[in-house]
Amino acid sequence: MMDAIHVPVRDGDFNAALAGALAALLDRHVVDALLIPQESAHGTSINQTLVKRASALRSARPVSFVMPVNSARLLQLLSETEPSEKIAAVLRPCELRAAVELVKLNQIDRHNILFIGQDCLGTFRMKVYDKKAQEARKAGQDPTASLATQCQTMLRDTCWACEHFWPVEGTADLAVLHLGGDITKELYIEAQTDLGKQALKALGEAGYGPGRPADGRKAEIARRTALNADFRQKWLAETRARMGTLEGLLETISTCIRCYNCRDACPICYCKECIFDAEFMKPTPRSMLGKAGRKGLLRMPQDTLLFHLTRLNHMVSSCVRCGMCEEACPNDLPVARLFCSEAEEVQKVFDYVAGKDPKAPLPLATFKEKELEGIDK
Amino acid sequence: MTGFEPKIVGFLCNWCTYTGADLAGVSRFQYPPNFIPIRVMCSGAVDPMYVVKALVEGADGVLIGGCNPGDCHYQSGNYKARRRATILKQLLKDLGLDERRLWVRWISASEGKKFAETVTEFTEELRRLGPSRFREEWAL
Repeated sequence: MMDAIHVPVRDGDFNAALAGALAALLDRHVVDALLIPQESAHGTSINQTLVKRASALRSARPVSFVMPVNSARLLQLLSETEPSEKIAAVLRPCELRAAVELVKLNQIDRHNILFIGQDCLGTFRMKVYDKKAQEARKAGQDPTASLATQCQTMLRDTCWACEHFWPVEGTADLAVLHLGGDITKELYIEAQTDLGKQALKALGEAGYGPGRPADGRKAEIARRTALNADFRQKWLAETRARMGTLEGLLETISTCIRCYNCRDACPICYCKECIFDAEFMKPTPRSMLGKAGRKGLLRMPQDTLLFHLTRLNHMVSSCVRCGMCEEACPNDLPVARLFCSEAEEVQKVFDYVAGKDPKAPLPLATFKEKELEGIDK
Repeated sequence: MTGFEPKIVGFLCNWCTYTGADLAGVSRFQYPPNFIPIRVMCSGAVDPMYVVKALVEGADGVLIGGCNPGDCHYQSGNYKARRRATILKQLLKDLGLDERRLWVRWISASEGKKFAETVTEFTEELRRLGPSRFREEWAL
Protein backbone atom coordinates (compact mmCIF):
# COMPACT_ATOMS: atom_id res chain seq x y z
CA MET A 1 0.00 0.00 0.00
CA MET A 2 1.25 3.46 -0.86
CA ASP A 3 2.11 6.01 1.81
CA ALA A 4 2.05 8.99 -0.54
CA ILE A 5 0.88 9.84 -4.03
CA HIS A 6 2.12 12.31 -6.55
CA VAL A 7 -0.31 14.89 -7.97
CA PRO A 8 1.00 16.47 -11.17
CA VAL A 9 0.07 20.14 -11.71
CA ARG A 10 -0.76 21.32 -15.22
CA ASP A 11 -0.24 24.98 -16.29
CA GLY A 12 0.63 25.99 -12.75
CA ASP A 13 -2.98 25.48 -11.65
CA PHE A 14 -2.33 23.65 -8.39
CA ASN A 15 -5.85 24.25 -7.10
CA ALA A 16 -7.40 22.53 -10.11
CA ALA A 17 -4.95 19.65 -9.72
CA LEU A 18 -5.70 19.22 -6.04
CA ALA A 19 -9.45 19.65 -6.55
CA GLY A 20 -9.21 16.91 -9.18
CA ALA A 21 -7.64 14.50 -6.71
CA LEU A 22 -10.19 15.39 -4.04
CA ALA A 23 -13.02 14.95 -6.55
CA ALA A 24 -11.80 11.37 -6.95
CA LEU A 25 -12.60 10.84 -3.26
CA LEU A 26 -16.21 11.78 -4.03
CA ASP A 27 -16.37 9.83 -7.30
CA ARG A 28 -15.02 6.68 -5.69
CA HIS A 29 -17.33 7.03 -2.70
CA VAL A 30 -14.52 7.23 -0.18
CA VAL A 31 -16.54 10.13 1.24
CA ASP A 32 -20.01 11.50 0.58
CA ALA A 33 -19.11 15.16 0.91
CA LEU A 34 -16.15 17.52 0.91
CA LEU A 35 -15.63 20.58 3.09
CA ILE A 36 -13.45 22.67 0.83
CA PRO A 37 -12.75 26.39 0.28
CA GLN A 38 -14.11 27.92 -2.94
CA GLU A 39 -13.81 31.35 -4.44
CA SER A 40 -16.85 33.62 -4.37
CA ALA A 41 -18.40 34.63 -7.69
CA HIS A 42 -16.55 37.97 -7.86
CA GLY A 43 -13.37 36.66 -6.32
CA THR A 44 -13.65 38.92 -3.27
CA SER A 45 -13.26 36.11 -0.83
CA ILE A 46 -12.80 32.40 -0.43
CA ASN A 47 -15.15 30.51 1.84
CA GLN A 48 -15.56 26.96 2.99
CA THR A 49 -18.21 25.05 1.06
CA LEU A 50 -19.85 21.72 1.64
CA VAL A 51 -19.72 19.90 -1.67
CA LYS A 52 -21.62 16.74 -2.60
CA ARG A 53 -21.22 16.77 -6.38
CA ALA A 54 -17.77 16.64 -7.91
CA SER A 55 -18.99 18.88 -10.72
CA ALA A 56 -19.59 21.62 -8.12
CA LEU A 57 -15.85 21.95 -7.49
CA ARG A 58 -15.27 24.44 -10.32
CA SER A 59 -13.98 27.31 -8.20
CA ALA A 60 -12.34 25.16 -5.51
CA ARG A 61 -9.37 26.81 -3.77
CA PRO A 62 -8.08 24.16 -1.34
CA VAL A 63 -4.82 26.15 -1.28
CA SER A 64 -5.68 29.77 -0.54
CA PHE A 65 -4.53 32.87 1.30
CA VAL A 66 -7.52 33.91 3.30
CA MET A 67 -9.29 32.30 6.24
CA PRO A 68 -12.72 33.73 7.10
CA VAL A 69 -13.45 31.24 9.90
CA ASN A 70 -11.62 28.47 11.65
CA SER A 71 -13.16 25.43 9.96
CA ALA A 72 -12.90 23.35 13.12
CA ARG A 73 -16.00 25.26 14.20
CA LEU A 74 -17.78 24.00 11.09
CA LEU A 75 -16.69 20.44 11.78
CA GLN A 76 -18.25 20.72 15.21
CA LEU A 77 -21.55 21.29 13.42
CA LEU A 78 -20.96 18.50 10.92
CA SER A 79 -19.73 15.69 13.12
CA GLU A 80 -22.01 12.83 14.06
CA THR A 81 -21.71 10.00 16.54
CA GLU A 82 -23.73 7.68 14.36
CA PRO A 83 -22.63 8.77 10.94
CA SER A 84 -25.07 8.81 8.08
CA GLU A 85 -22.54 10.25 5.64
CA LYS A 86 -18.78 10.68 5.53
CA ILE A 87 -17.14 14.05 5.08
CA ALA A 88 -13.57 14.89 4.11
CA ALA A 89 -12.50 18.32 5.36
CA VAL A 90 -9.67 20.39 3.90
CA LEU A 91 -8.00 22.10 6.83
CA ARG A 92 -5.14 24.51 7.38
CA PRO A 93 -2.66 23.53 10.08
CA CYS A 94 -4.29 25.81 12.68
CA GLU A 95 -7.73 24.49 11.74
CA LEU A 96 -6.41 20.96 12.01
CA ARG A 97 -4.93 21.69 15.43
CA ALA A 98 -8.24 23.16 16.57
CA ALA A 99 -10.04 20.08 15.24
CA VAL A 100 -7.64 17.82 17.16
CA GLU A 101 -8.40 19.78 20.34
CA LEU A 102 -12.14 19.63 19.71
CA VAL A 103 -11.93 15.86 19.28
CA LYS A 104 -10.29 15.69 22.72
CA LEU A 105 -12.98 17.99 24.10
CA ASN A 106 -15.64 15.61 22.72
CA GLN A 107 -16.94 18.24 20.33
CA ILE A 108 -15.96 16.53 17.10
CA ASP A 109 -16.59 12.86 16.53
CA ARG A 110 -14.01 11.42 14.15
CA HIS A 111 -16.43 8.70 13.02
CA ASN A 112 -17.66 10.51 9.95
CA ILE A 113 -14.85 12.95 9.28
CA LEU A 114 -11.63 12.53 7.33
CA PHE A 115 -9.09 15.24 8.14
CA ILE A 116 -7.15 16.51 5.12
CA GLY A 117 -4.34 18.68 6.42
CA GLN A 118 -2.09 20.82 4.27
CA ASP A 119 1.09 22.84 4.24
CA CYS A 120 0.24 26.50 4.74
CA LEU A 121 1.90 29.55 3.24
CA GLY A 122 0.00 31.93 5.52
CA THR A 123 -3.12 34.05 5.20
CA PHE A 124 -4.01 37.72 4.82
CA ARG A 125 -6.60 39.65 6.72
CA MET A 126 -9.90 39.59 4.81
CA LYS A 127 -9.68 43.25 3.77
CA VAL A 128 -6.07 42.94 2.66
CA TYR A 129 -6.92 39.83 0.67
CA ASP A 130 -9.79 41.56 -1.10
CA LYS A 131 -7.40 44.32 -2.20
CA LYS A 132 -4.72 41.89 -3.34
CA ALA A 133 -7.28 39.80 -5.19
CA GLN A 134 -8.59 42.84 -7.05
CA GLU A 135 -5.07 43.91 -8.03
CA ALA A 136 -4.30 40.43 -9.37
CA ARG A 137 -7.56 40.34 -11.32
CA LYS A 138 -6.81 43.71 -12.92
CA ALA A 139 -3.50 42.27 -14.06
CA GLY A 140 -5.39 39.33 -15.55
CA GLN A 141 -4.12 36.77 -13.03
CA ASP A 142 -5.75 34.31 -10.68
CA PRO A 143 -5.23 35.82 -7.20
CA THR A 144 -4.38 32.55 -5.46
CA ALA A 145 -1.92 31.46 -8.14
CA SER A 146 -0.17 34.83 -8.22
CA LEU A 147 0.02 35.04 -4.41
CA ALA A 148 1.54 31.57 -4.13
CA THR A 149 4.65 32.63 -5.98
CA GLN A 150 5.10 36.06 -4.36
CA CYS A 151 7.14 36.90 -1.34
CA GLN A 152 4.48 37.71 1.25
CA THR A 153 4.85 40.69 3.53
CA MET A 154 1.35 41.51 4.73
CA LEU A 155 0.35 38.16 6.19
CA ARG A 156 -1.54 38.14 9.46
CA ASP A 157 0.74 38.44 12.51
CA THR A 158 -0.39 35.06 13.79
CA CYS A 159 0.72 33.51 10.49
CA TRP A 160 4.17 35.06 10.82
CA ALA A 161 4.31 33.82 14.39
CA CYS A 162 3.14 30.32 13.41
CA GLU A 163 5.15 27.46 14.83
CA HIS A 164 3.57 24.50 13.02
CA PHE A 165 2.65 25.55 9.49
CA TRP A 166 2.41 22.00 8.19
CA PRO A 167 0.18 19.07 9.22
CA VAL A 168 2.15 17.60 12.11
CA GLU A 169 2.70 13.84 11.87
CA GLY A 170 -0.30 11.83 13.03
CA THR A 171 -2.80 14.70 13.23
CA ALA A 172 -4.33 14.42 9.74
CA ASP A 173 -5.62 11.39 7.83
CA LEU A 174 -4.31 12.81 4.56
CA ALA A 175 -1.70 15.55 4.29
CA VAL A 176 -1.25 17.73 1.20
CA LEU A 177 2.45 18.62 1.05
CA HIS A 178 4.26 21.12 -1.13
CA LEU A 179 6.78 22.96 1.07
CA GLY A 180 10.28 22.76 -0.35
CA GLY A 181 8.99 21.78 -3.77
CA ASP A 182 7.46 23.71 -6.65
CA ILE A 183 3.73 23.99 -6.04
CA THR A 184 3.18 25.11 -9.63
CA LYS A 185 4.53 21.77 -10.87
CA GLU A 186 3.57 19.11 -8.35
CA LEU A 187 1.97 18.24 -5.01
CA TYR A 188 2.05 15.20 -2.76
CA ILE A 189 -0.65 13.65 -0.68
CA GLU A 190 0.59 11.59 2.21
CA ALA A 191 -1.39 9.22 4.45
CA GLN A 192 -0.83 9.77 8.17
CA THR A 193 -3.35 7.24 9.50
CA ASP A 194 -4.90 3.92 8.44
CA LEU A 195 -8.02 5.77 7.39
CA GLY A 196 -5.82 7.94 5.22
CA LYS A 197 -4.15 4.89 3.69
CA GLN A 198 -7.53 3.55 2.61
CA ALA A 199 -8.38 6.86 0.98
CA LEU A 200 -5.00 6.93 -0.70
CA LYS A 201 -5.63 3.47 -2.12
CA ALA A 202 -8.73 4.79 -3.85
CA LEU A 203 -6.66 7.63 -5.30
CA GLY A 204 -4.12 5.06 -6.51
CA GLU A 205 -6.95 3.24 -8.25
CA ALA A 206 -7.96 6.54 -9.81
CA GLY A 207 -4.60 6.65 -11.52
CA TYR A 208 -2.37 8.64 -9.17
CA GLY A 209 1.11 7.17 -8.93
CA PRO A 210 3.29 6.87 -5.83
CA GLY A 211 5.40 9.82 -4.79
CA ARG A 212 7.36 11.24 -1.93
CA PRO A 213 7.66 14.75 -0.54
CA ALA A 214 10.22 17.09 -2.10
CA ASP A 215 13.86 16.70 -1.11
CA GLY A 216 14.01 20.32 -0.02
CA ARG A 217 11.07 19.94 2.38
CA LYS A 218 13.03 19.57 5.61
CA ALA A 219 15.30 22.48 4.78
CA GLU A 220 12.34 24.71 3.84
CA ILE A 221 10.53 23.88 7.07
CA ALA A 222 13.70 24.62 9.04
CA ARG A 223 14.17 27.90 7.19
CA ARG A 224 10.63 29.12 7.82
CA THR A 225 10.68 27.84 11.39
CA ALA A 226 13.71 30.03 12.11
CA LEU A 227 12.16 33.01 10.33
CA ASN A 228 8.87 32.68 12.20
CA ALA A 229 10.59 32.08 15.54
CA ASP A 230 12.45 35.33 15.04
CA PHE A 231 9.24 37.24 14.39
CA ARG A 232 7.36 35.46 17.18
CA GLN A 233 9.98 36.32 19.79
CA LYS A 234 9.86 40.02 18.97
CA TRP A 235 6.08 40.02 18.67
CA LEU A 236 5.56 38.30 22.01
CA ALA A 237 8.23 40.37 23.77
CA GLU A 238 6.42 43.50 22.57
CA THR A 239 3.13 42.04 23.77
CA ARG A 240 4.48 41.22 27.20
CA ALA A 241 6.01 44.66 27.57
CA ARG A 242 2.65 46.20 26.67
CA MET A 243 0.32 43.95 28.65
CA GLY A 244 2.56 42.88 31.51
CA THR A 245 1.17 45.46 33.89
CA LEU A 246 -2.39 46.12 35.02
CA GLU A 247 -2.28 49.63 33.49
CA GLY A 248 -1.07 48.21 30.18
CA LEU A 249 -3.63 45.45 30.19
CA LEU A 250 -6.53 47.79 30.99
CA GLU A 251 -5.36 50.23 28.33
CA THR A 252 -5.17 47.40 25.80
CA ILE A 253 -8.73 46.27 26.44
CA SER A 254 -10.11 49.77 26.93
CA THR A 255 -11.83 49.75 23.53
CA CYS A 256 -13.62 46.46 24.19
CA ILE A 257 -17.37 46.75 23.69
CA ARG A 258 -18.09 43.20 24.89
CA CYS A 259 -19.60 42.16 21.59
CA TYR A 260 -18.33 38.59 22.20
CA ASN A 261 -17.11 38.32 18.59
CA CYS A 262 -13.76 36.97 19.81
CA ARG A 263 -15.52 34.28 21.77
CA ASP A 264 -17.80 33.38 18.87
CA ALA A 265 -14.90 33.19 16.40
CA CYS A 266 -12.75 31.07 18.73
CA PRO A 267 -12.76 27.39 17.77
CA ILE A 268 -11.95 26.36 21.34
CA CYS A 269 -14.73 28.40 23.00
CA TYR A 270 -17.25 25.70 22.27
CA CYS A 271 -19.68 25.86 25.22
CA LYS A 272 -23.27 25.71 24.06
CA GLU A 273 -24.18 27.92 26.97
CA CYS A 274 -21.49 30.42 27.83
CA ILE A 275 -21.33 31.53 31.44
CA PHE A 276 -21.43 35.13 30.18
CA ASP A 277 -24.85 34.51 28.65
CA ALA A 278 -26.18 33.08 31.90
CA GLU A 279 -29.00 34.93 33.59
CA PHE A 280 -27.13 35.27 36.89
CA MET A 281 -24.26 37.07 35.14
CA LYS A 282 -26.48 39.80 33.72
CA PRO A 283 -25.94 43.06 35.55
CA THR A 284 -28.94 44.62 37.26
CA PRO A 285 -29.46 48.34 37.83
CA ARG A 286 -28.94 47.72 41.52
CA SER A 287 -25.67 45.83 41.10
CA MET A 288 -24.28 48.47 38.74
CA LEU A 289 -25.32 51.41 40.89
CA GLY A 290 -23.95 49.59 43.92
CA LYS A 291 -20.57 49.15 42.27
CA ALA A 292 -20.52 52.72 41.00
CA GLY A 293 -21.33 53.78 44.55
CA ARG A 294 -18.40 51.84 46.01
CA LYS A 295 -15.82 53.12 43.53
CA GLY A 296 -17.34 56.48 42.69
CA LEU A 297 -17.75 55.48 39.04
CA LEU A 298 -18.04 52.42 36.83
CA ARG A 299 -16.98 51.79 33.26
CA MET A 300 -19.85 50.72 31.01
CA PRO A 301 -20.26 48.14 29.62
CA GLN A 302 -18.63 46.64 32.67
CA ASP A 303 -16.68 43.45 33.31
CA THR A 304 -14.49 43.56 30.20
CA LEU A 305 -11.47 42.46 32.24
CA LEU A 306 -13.49 39.67 33.84
CA PHE A 307 -14.63 38.53 30.40
CA HIS A 308 -11.17 38.37 28.82
CA LEU A 309 -9.55 36.82 31.90
CA THR A 310 -12.27 34.19 32.12
CA ARG A 311 -11.91 33.33 28.47
CA LEU A 312 -8.16 33.04 28.96
CA ASN A 313 -8.65 30.73 31.92
CA HIS A 314 -11.12 28.56 30.08
CA MET A 315 -9.35 28.04 26.79
CA VAL A 316 -5.72 29.12 26.98
CA SER A 317 -4.47 25.56 27.54
CA SER A 318 -6.04 24.54 24.22
CA CYS A 319 -5.41 27.77 22.24
CA VAL A 320 -4.08 26.84 18.79
CA ARG A 321 -3.00 30.41 17.94
CA CYS A 322 -5.17 30.75 14.82
CA GLY A 323 -5.79 34.43 15.56
CA MET A 324 -9.46 34.34 14.58
CA CYS A 325 -10.33 36.26 17.77
CA GLU A 326 -8.40 39.28 16.57
CA GLU A 327 -9.85 39.05 13.06
CA ALA A 328 -13.34 39.13 14.54
CA CYS A 329 -12.73 42.16 16.77
CA PRO A 330 -14.49 45.27 15.42
CA ASN A 331 -12.12 47.50 17.37
CA ASP A 332 -8.87 45.72 16.54
CA LEU A 333 -8.07 44.76 20.12
CA PRO A 334 -4.82 42.78 20.01
CA VAL A 335 -6.51 39.75 21.55
CA ALA A 336 -4.58 37.24 19.44
CA ARG A 337 -1.34 38.64 20.83
CA LEU A 338 -2.64 38.31 24.35
CA PHE A 339 -3.84 34.75 23.80
CA CYS A 340 -0.77 33.60 21.84
CA SER A 341 1.51 35.00 24.50
CA GLU A 342 -0.36 33.39 27.39
CA ALA A 343 -0.95 30.13 25.48
CA GLU A 344 2.81 29.82 25.13
CA GLU A 345 3.41 30.46 28.85
CA VAL A 346 0.63 28.21 30.13
CA GLN A 347 1.10 25.29 27.72
CA LYS A 348 4.82 25.31 28.57
CA VAL A 349 3.98 24.65 32.21
CA PHE A 350 2.16 21.45 31.24
CA ASP A 351 4.62 20.49 28.50
CA TYR A 352 1.71 20.58 26.06
CA VAL A 353 1.24 22.05 22.59
CA ALA A 354 -2.42 22.35 21.63
CA GLY A 355 -3.34 20.26 18.61
CA LYS A 356 0.10 18.76 18.10
CA ASP A 357 -0.45 15.30 19.51
CA PRO A 358 -3.89 13.63 19.37
CA LYS A 359 -2.82 11.21 22.10
CA ALA A 360 -1.62 13.77 24.65
CA PRO A 361 -4.37 14.34 27.23
CA LEU A 362 -5.78 17.84 27.74
CA PRO A 363 -3.91 19.63 30.55
CA LEU A 364 -7.15 20.18 32.46
CA ALA A 365 -8.38 16.61 32.04
CA THR A 366 -5.36 14.94 33.58
CA PHE A 367 -2.95 15.34 36.50
CA LYS A 368 0.02 13.80 38.21
CA GLU A 369 0.03 13.13 41.91
CA LYS A 370 3.33 14.89 42.34
CA GLU A 371 3.60 18.08 40.31
CA LEU A 372 3.35 21.85 40.38
CA GLU A 373 5.07 22.05 43.71
CA GLY A 374 4.94 25.36 45.49
CA ILE A 375 1.51 26.35 44.21
CA ASP A 376 -0.07 25.32 47.52
CA LYS A 377 2.55 26.86 49.79
CA MET B 1 -2.28 52.49 55.33
CA THR B 2 -3.82 52.81 58.75
CA GLY B 3 -7.06 51.07 59.53
CA PHE B 4 -6.83 48.85 56.47
CA GLU B 5 -8.58 45.55 56.98
CA PRO B 6 -8.16 43.06 54.16
CA LYS B 7 -11.15 41.21 52.81
CA ILE B 8 -10.59 37.55 51.95
CA VAL B 9 -13.00 35.44 49.95
CA GLY B 10 -12.58 31.71 50.55
CA PHE B 11 -13.87 28.89 48.37
CA LEU B 12 -13.88 25.92 50.73
CA CYS B 13 -14.59 22.34 49.81
CA ASN B 14 -17.51 20.78 51.68
CA TRP B 15 -15.67 17.67 52.78
CA CYS B 16 -12.39 18.99 54.13
CA THR B 17 -11.61 22.67 54.43
CA TYR B 18 -15.16 23.80 55.21
CA THR B 19 -15.44 21.14 57.89
CA GLY B 20 -11.98 22.17 59.08
CA ALA B 21 -13.25 25.76 59.36
CA ASP B 22 -16.19 24.45 61.34
CA LEU B 23 -13.85 22.58 63.65
CA ALA B 24 -11.81 25.76 64.14
CA GLY B 25 -14.98 27.45 65.35
CA VAL B 26 -16.13 24.61 67.57
CA SER B 27 -12.62 24.36 69.03
CA ARG B 28 -12.63 28.13 69.65
CA PHE B 29 -9.42 28.77 67.75
CA GLN B 30 -9.03 32.50 67.25
CA TYR B 31 -8.54 33.88 63.75
CA PRO B 32 -9.13 37.32 62.22
CA PRO B 33 -12.68 38.12 61.14
CA ASN B 34 -11.56 39.13 57.63
CA PHE B 35 -12.62 35.90 56.01
CA ILE B 36 -15.78 35.35 53.96
CA PRO B 37 -16.27 31.62 53.42
CA ILE B 38 -18.15 30.21 50.44
CA ARG B 39 -18.96 26.52 50.69
CA VAL B 40 -18.51 24.54 47.48
CA MET B 41 -18.83 20.80 46.95
CA CYS B 42 -15.25 20.41 45.74
CA SER B 43 -12.22 22.63 45.15
CA GLY B 44 -12.27 21.17 41.63
CA ALA B 45 -15.67 22.77 41.10
CA VAL B 46 -14.37 26.30 41.54
CA ASP B 47 -14.47 27.90 38.10
CA PRO B 48 -11.61 30.40 37.83
CA MET B 49 -14.25 32.90 36.75
CA TYR B 50 -15.48 33.17 40.34
CA VAL B 51 -11.97 33.74 41.64
CA VAL B 52 -11.32 36.44 39.04
CA LYS B 53 -14.70 38.00 39.82
CA ALA B 54 -13.88 38.16 43.52
CA LEU B 55 -10.50 39.75 42.76
CA VAL B 56 -11.68 42.35 40.25
CA GLU B 57 -14.61 43.30 42.45
CA GLY B 58 -12.12 44.24 45.14
CA ALA B 59 -11.40 41.23 47.35
CA ASP B 60 -7.87 41.68 48.71
CA GLY B 61 -7.25 37.95 48.67
CA VAL B 62 -8.86 34.70 47.58
CA LEU B 63 -8.28 31.33 49.23
CA ILE B 64 -9.12 28.06 47.53
CA GLY B 65 -9.27 25.34 50.18
CA GLY B 66 -9.50 21.64 49.39
CA CYS B 67 -8.74 18.17 50.72
CA ASN B 68 -5.12 17.08 51.03
CA PRO B 69 -3.69 15.49 47.85
CA GLY B 70 -4.94 11.93 47.71
CA ASP B 71 -7.89 12.60 50.04
CA CYS B 72 -10.40 14.14 47.60
CA HIS B 73 -13.94 12.95 48.23
CA TYR B 74 -14.33 12.75 44.45
CA GLN B 75 -10.92 11.10 43.90
CA SER B 76 -9.19 13.79 41.86
CA GLY B 77 -11.02 17.12 42.17
CA ASN B 78 -8.26 18.77 44.16
CA TYR B 79 -5.59 17.69 41.65
CA LYS B 80 -7.64 19.38 38.93
CA ALA B 81 -8.12 22.44 41.12
CA ARG B 82 -4.35 22.57 41.46
CA ARG B 83 -3.93 22.63 37.69
CA ARG B 84 -6.61 25.30 37.23
CA ALA B 85 -5.09 27.42 39.96
CA THR B 86 -1.68 27.05 38.31
CA ILE B 87 -3.06 28.50 35.07
CA LEU B 88 -4.83 31.28 36.93
CA LYS B 89 -1.73 32.19 38.94
CA GLN B 90 0.36 32.22 35.76
CA LEU B 91 -2.11 34.60 34.10
CA LEU B 92 -2.31 36.86 37.15
CA LYS B 93 1.48 37.00 37.27
CA ASP B 94 1.98 37.68 33.55
CA LEU B 95 -0.69 40.37 33.37
CA GLY B 96 0.34 42.35 36.41
CA LEU B 97 -2.57 41.29 38.63
CA ASP B 98 -0.52 40.14 41.63
CA GLU B 99 -0.70 36.37 42.01
CA ARG B 100 0.26 36.69 45.70
CA ARG B 101 -3.39 37.45 46.41
CA LEU B 102 -4.45 33.94 45.48
CA TRP B 103 -3.70 31.12 47.90
CA VAL B 104 -4.36 27.43 47.43
CA ARG B 105 -4.25 25.35 50.62
CA TRP B 106 -5.13 21.78 51.49
CA ILE B 107 -6.75 21.63 54.93
CA SER B 108 -8.47 18.48 56.15
CA ALA B 109 -11.59 18.23 58.29
CA SER B 110 -9.43 17.50 61.34
CA GLU B 111 -7.10 20.46 60.81
CA GLY B 112 -9.10 23.20 62.52
CA LYS B 113 -5.90 24.65 63.90
CA LYS B 114 -4.28 24.74 60.48
CA PHE B 115 -7.33 26.54 59.11
CA ALA B 116 -7.14 29.22 61.78
CA GLU B 117 -3.41 29.60 61.23
CA THR B 118 -3.81 29.83 57.45
CA VAL B 119 -6.40 32.60 57.69
CA THR B 120 -4.22 34.44 60.20
CA GLU B 121 -1.15 34.15 57.99
CA PHE B 122 -3.01 35.20 54.85
CA THR B 123 -4.54 38.20 56.63
CA GLU B 124 -1.09 39.29 57.82
CA GLU B 125 0.37 38.85 54.35
CA LEU B 126 -2.43 40.94 52.84
CA ARG B 127 -1.92 43.64 55.46
CA ARG B 128 1.69 43.80 54.28
CA LEU B 129 0.63 43.95 50.60
CA GLY B 130 -1.93 46.66 51.27
CA PRO B 131 -5.36 47.03 49.70
CA SER B 132 -6.05 45.55 46.28
CA ARG B 133 -5.85 48.05 43.46
CA PHE B 134 -9.21 46.81 42.27
CA ARG B 135 -10.86 48.51 45.23
CA GLU B 136 -10.37 51.81 43.40
CA GLU B 137 -9.93 50.72 39.78
CA TRP B 138 -13.09 51.46 37.83
CA ALA B 139 -12.06 50.91 34.19
CA LEU B 140 -12.80 47.21 34.24
